Amino acid sequence: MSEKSTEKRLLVLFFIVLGFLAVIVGRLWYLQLIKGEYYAGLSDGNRMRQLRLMPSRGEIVDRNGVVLVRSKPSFTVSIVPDGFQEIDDTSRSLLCDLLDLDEDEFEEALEKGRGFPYEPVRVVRDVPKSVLVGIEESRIHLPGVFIEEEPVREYFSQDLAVHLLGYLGGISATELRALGTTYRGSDLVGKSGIEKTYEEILRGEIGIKTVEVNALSRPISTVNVLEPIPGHNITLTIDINLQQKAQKAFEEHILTLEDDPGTQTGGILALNPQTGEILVMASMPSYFPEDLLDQSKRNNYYTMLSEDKRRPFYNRVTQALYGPGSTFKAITALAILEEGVMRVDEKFNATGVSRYGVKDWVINSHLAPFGMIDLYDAIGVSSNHYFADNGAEVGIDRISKWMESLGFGSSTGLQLEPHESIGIVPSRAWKKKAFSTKHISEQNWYPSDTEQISIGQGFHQMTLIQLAQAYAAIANKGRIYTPRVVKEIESPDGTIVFRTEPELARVVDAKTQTWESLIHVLKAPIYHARGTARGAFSGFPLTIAGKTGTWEVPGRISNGLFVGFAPADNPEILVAVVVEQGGGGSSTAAPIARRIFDAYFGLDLEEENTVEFEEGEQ
Amino acid sequence: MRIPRRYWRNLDWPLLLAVLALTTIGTIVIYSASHTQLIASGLSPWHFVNKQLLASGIGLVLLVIIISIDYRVWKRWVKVIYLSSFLLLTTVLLLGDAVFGSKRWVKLGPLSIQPSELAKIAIILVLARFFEKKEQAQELKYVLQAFFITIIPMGLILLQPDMGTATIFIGLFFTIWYVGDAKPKHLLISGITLVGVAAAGIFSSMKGWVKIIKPYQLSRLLVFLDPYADRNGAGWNIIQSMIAVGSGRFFGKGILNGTQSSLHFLPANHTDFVFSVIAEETGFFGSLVVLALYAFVIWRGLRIASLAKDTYGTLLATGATSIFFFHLIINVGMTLGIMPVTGLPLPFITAGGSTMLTSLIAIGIILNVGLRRIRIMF
Repeated sequence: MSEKSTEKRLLVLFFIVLGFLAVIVGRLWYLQLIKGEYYAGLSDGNRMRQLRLMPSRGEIVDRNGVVLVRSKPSFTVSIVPDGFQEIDDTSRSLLCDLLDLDEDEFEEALEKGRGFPYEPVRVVRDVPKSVLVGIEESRIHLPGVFIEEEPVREYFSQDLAVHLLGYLGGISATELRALGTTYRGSDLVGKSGIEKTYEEILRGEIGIKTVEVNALSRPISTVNVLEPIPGHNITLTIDINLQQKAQKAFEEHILTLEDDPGTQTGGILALNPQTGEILVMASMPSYFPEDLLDQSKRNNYYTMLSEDKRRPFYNRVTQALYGPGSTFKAITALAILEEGVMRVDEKFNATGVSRYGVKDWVINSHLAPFGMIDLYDAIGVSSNHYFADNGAEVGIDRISKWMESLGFGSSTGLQLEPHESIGIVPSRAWKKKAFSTKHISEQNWYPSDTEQISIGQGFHQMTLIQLAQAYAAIANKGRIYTPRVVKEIESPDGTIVFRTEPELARVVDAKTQTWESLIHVLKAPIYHARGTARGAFSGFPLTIAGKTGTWEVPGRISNGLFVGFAPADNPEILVAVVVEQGGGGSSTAAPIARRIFDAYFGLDLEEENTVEFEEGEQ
Repeated sequence: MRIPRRYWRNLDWPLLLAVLALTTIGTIVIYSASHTQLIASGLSPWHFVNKQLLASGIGLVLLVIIISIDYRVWKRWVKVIYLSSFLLLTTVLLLGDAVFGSKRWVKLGPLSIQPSELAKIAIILVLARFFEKKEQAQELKYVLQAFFITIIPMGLILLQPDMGTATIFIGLFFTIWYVGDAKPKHLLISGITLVGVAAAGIFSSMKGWVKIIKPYQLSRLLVFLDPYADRNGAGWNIIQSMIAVGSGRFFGKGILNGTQSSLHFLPANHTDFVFSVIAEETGFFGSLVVLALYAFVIWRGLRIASLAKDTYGTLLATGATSIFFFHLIINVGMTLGIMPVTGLPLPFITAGGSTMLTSLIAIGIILNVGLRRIRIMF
């Protein structure tokens, strides 16, 4: 290769580079020096605006297609901050008057548009027609004010299933970062429940409208429109009629309680144990998500709810942790049978006081002890002595193993925000860690601890949905299906894009005979002569299995619980109820559960003043 | 490894200084272009600047490592480098993160790298090795082999899809082949063939006969011919960019004062359209300074190519230098509305770690060849 030739070629290359650079410089010369004036003019009053067109958020319907939440067309008044800067205080107060806002609220709204001075920022949503007319009339004094079409949420479901459905609220700085570039500071996003879990699916895709505006920032022509795409519709597994009756049963029943009637809080869960479909999810007290959107009520209502000692935002089905009380005896019974400590028909002499001092309620009431009883009797009358002694025999290590296999201490897999609590499965290791700051003697595990666990008054903590899941395992002979609330997701054009199927979450390994025995003994609380739920279910025509429970809190009124399923031998529905600080499960939770079973099986028809859930106009 | 003292004398300090000057300008422009948006989304206004400084730091370390290993030693590794870039490109297609519809990034721990950037370096090493032998550059059989080697990674990049980077592969091929003493007749024939094939491809895509390029790519390709035909889509970017550039006039609106960029009329203003911000804020004068710095970098690069000890060195330096040329022309041309919108970065200035690393690696290659030349320069 000759050196000369290479040098020549490199020189040619460099001249090519210079040639291209000359073209670029020439182009710069043309744009900046010859046409500079023209482009400067364009940029000064850059009159093109890209407005976002908000999609209609997807509908949420119940399993029967009843519309619970939908979006209705409405108008939002927005301001382009840049266009508004130039106007004087009179225009500002004029707008505040028209919209019935005070200066602070107005400034707060403007602040959300920081960083995007040429994009409209929302001031008030869902503005009535009369106000819109007022704004149009004063248009000349209100530069930079836009009226935009934006659908708003309408909750036909009122205060029903709100913890499941969730609510919308103003986007926070953290959410703004997480959700990405199609969101702006004045947008609304799902804050909990389905609205949050499926935010992106429900929201749809925003459109963009490019307009040319005049000096008053009023659109004078539309350059281009990219239509928004509405969100997907979601069909839930819940039955809103049953949900309504369940919430009504709770509200009415707590009024009849002895202590502080009407103040009780609690949770209700109903599901199909054979599929995992949730039919009812209620956390009481409830609230009205629509009032959280209403500009005039929003702030006061939110403050009121957040300051309410009963914590209305808290989901008592998935977040709250409870002691199980005697409902845990079904789990202890599973361990007793499987570990071969007792046979189902084996008699036990319940003298009323266990080895480490756990007493039967009959002893506290100065009645005769239960005497020779088998497992059926023990569950029916809820004998503490039976379960304390035999549970201690099983031992904590094996009890925690059974608890874990039933799903305690881990998430159930329910797809719902906020994420469920996982609770506590006590064990020797757990106690050592939990009491690590205490004296060593308090870190050791004692048989008395196991006795307390066995009767449901120990260290264990669980959510209502975990407890329901354990009972579903019994009802279903060991098969646990992942609980779910979404049945179908439908795209805006009506095609089903997603359909959930029963998903086997875990199989609890126990003998078929054990499951059959457990289902049998769980009928005792209802059918045994001294059954704890006998009163609540008297006259119920189908076979039902279930257990009451009372979680005793020193110095406070007890929590009452009930978990049961029907028909006992082919369960379609499982109901779990907790009533906080209302007293024992027999008198608080069981009667509420009874009304839900009645409603599910259509046995409540003769009941007076039952109003069918009214579907909103389509 | 000990570096002889004459190497330090031979190091092209002016080139290095020009590169540092461009990087500094880049950092300032990135801040200017991104800080309002970052504040609006609740992040630190220095977010991109910090990332850029970190990437430059890592890049400089790489540059020092590259300088310290004699470029002739790399010959042994050419096959390995080529194959690993092939593997990376395949990985990104299979597992990459899609950004704006294209899969360009692959995550390696906390780093997100763009294999197509590294593939550019790999192809330079391969082609320089191939055309080092004059008979291979002059015989059509070998040239076709080299072309085949080039279009494999190029095809993978087209699949991402990233047309801009893929185009650069063609440019690199022709540049290195040409300097490697291609016969003018061959150059002419293959040049005409290529233009013919590209035109046929675009034409049949327009007619919808074939689906080689996606509709959005086609509209980006064609929109610069008449940006006003599509003012909302690809055209919006070009129009706003031209308004930004034009309104800068002679001295610009001043750093941080560009209304087009800070008010979000300019899209991707710290990445693809960063030159528009320079032109808007520093005007014709500032743009000329930046262009002059690039011209200087390219001149020093080609000068080192001509002074290299051997043909391999010449071709390496030529290839590495031409990367800057192609990026400069395509990126700046796009912001001025005379080139298609392709999303190619502007070396040293565009915010982006992978681009910064590749650019500094390329500078390292050029400096390396310069260090080990025979003649003494003044």
